[in-house]
Amino acid sequence: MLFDWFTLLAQIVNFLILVFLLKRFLFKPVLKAIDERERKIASSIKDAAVKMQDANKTRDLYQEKLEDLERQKAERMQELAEQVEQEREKKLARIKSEVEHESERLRNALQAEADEFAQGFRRQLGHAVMDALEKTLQDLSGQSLEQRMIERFAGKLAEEGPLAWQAPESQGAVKPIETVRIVSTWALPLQQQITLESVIRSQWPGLEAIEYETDPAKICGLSLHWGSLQLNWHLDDYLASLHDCLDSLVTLPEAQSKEQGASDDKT
Amino acid sequence: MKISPDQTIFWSNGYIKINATLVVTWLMMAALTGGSILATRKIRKNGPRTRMQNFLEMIVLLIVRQIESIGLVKARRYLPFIGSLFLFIASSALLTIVPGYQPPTGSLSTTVALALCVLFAVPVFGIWEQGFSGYLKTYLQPTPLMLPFNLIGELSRTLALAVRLFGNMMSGVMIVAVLLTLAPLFIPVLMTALGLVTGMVQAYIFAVLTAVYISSATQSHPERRSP
Repeated sequence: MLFDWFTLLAQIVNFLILVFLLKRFLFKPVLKAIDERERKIASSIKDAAVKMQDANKTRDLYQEKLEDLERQKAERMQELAEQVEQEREKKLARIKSEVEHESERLRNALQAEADEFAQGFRRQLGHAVMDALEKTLQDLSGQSLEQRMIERFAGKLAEEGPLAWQAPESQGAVKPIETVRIVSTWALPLQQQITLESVIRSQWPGLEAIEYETDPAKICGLSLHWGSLQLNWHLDDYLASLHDCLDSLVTLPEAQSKEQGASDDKT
Repeated sequence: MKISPDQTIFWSNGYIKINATLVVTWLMMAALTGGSILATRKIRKNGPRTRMQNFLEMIVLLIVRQIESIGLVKARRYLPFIGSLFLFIASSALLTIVPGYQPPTGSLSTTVALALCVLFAVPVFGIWEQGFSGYLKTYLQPTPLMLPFNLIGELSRTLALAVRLFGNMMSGVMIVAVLLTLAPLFIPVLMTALGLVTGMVQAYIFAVLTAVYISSATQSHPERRSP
């Protein structure tokens, strides 16, 4: 017979025991391991999600901070640019002022130097011209020149009269003539003294005495002293006129250069 | 020639007979249990896994997913029963490569025992899921007139399970035994390989049909009950 009841019952029992054993030693441990691992993976995923969320929050926070920093940086840079521009303008203005001041100082110094040079030049030129003239006149002076000087002095005295005399200090009233003092470069010869006295006495009839003096410092000329009044005729006068003319010739280019400098400053 | 291993009796005492079916079954149970203990002894819940652990997890998860694909949502509840059926039948088929081995599933007593286990497990799981009355109502579906036919269906499918498995496993062994006498060199090897495939297919069929029966018993059908 192919069928055995004892074997059938035994196999049922065997199978139920096998189910229990496999459940106990195979399925349960394996499923437990799988569940534990899946739980751990799920926990890791959950933790990762939480961490990702935290990371996103942190990232957003830092993004906001970064944006704030960028904004503050831009504002600060703008402020710094404005401050730098203001500082630059201030320094430029100060430097410009200093440069102008220094330029003015240098110009003044240059002008002073030029003036001093011009003055020195004029002085030296005048001295040179005067020395040359003086020497020339001294070399040329003689009886004829002195005679001519006396004649010219007498002529001037006759033309102008005593009222034309100029007081070196003040125009005073004509005082009574007592003594007249004649100063010349050289001692006047007698003939010339006579000529001169005749003219003087014709102008001042009450004249008591005429005194003669020499002054080598004078250049070819005569001075008539009457108290505080005097009448001069010297080459010094001509030389002074010549000196003034030379001054005007030298100072003219300087004035022109000053005017040119002023027009440059305005531009 | 002995058709069934039941006929190989090692010891008997009256009604009790210790035959090859029981002995092989016990050996297989010992092998499966011992292998499970050895395999799961060093199982790791974290960290790198051994190849054996990967293999076990693969087998278990394969069975669980097959059960779920049939429609049993709570697959882990039925895993010990259906998984044990599959592993027992598959092991019986795989061991046919061992010379002189007689699979216990080649015994009608074993297949009928397994079919009876299924026959009783189906209502047990059905009552567990739907309650006693809820399960009994399934026999009255779609109409109470179908009650006899449902009962006959329960018995006939149990008989079909038992005979199908017995016929396939017994025939495979018989064919190999006959061919050994006719062409002892290469043909038996091919037939043994074919028998391996057939045995695995039968294990799969037996387990899947069991899952289908349990599924039909544990799932209510409101569309049928609604007028």
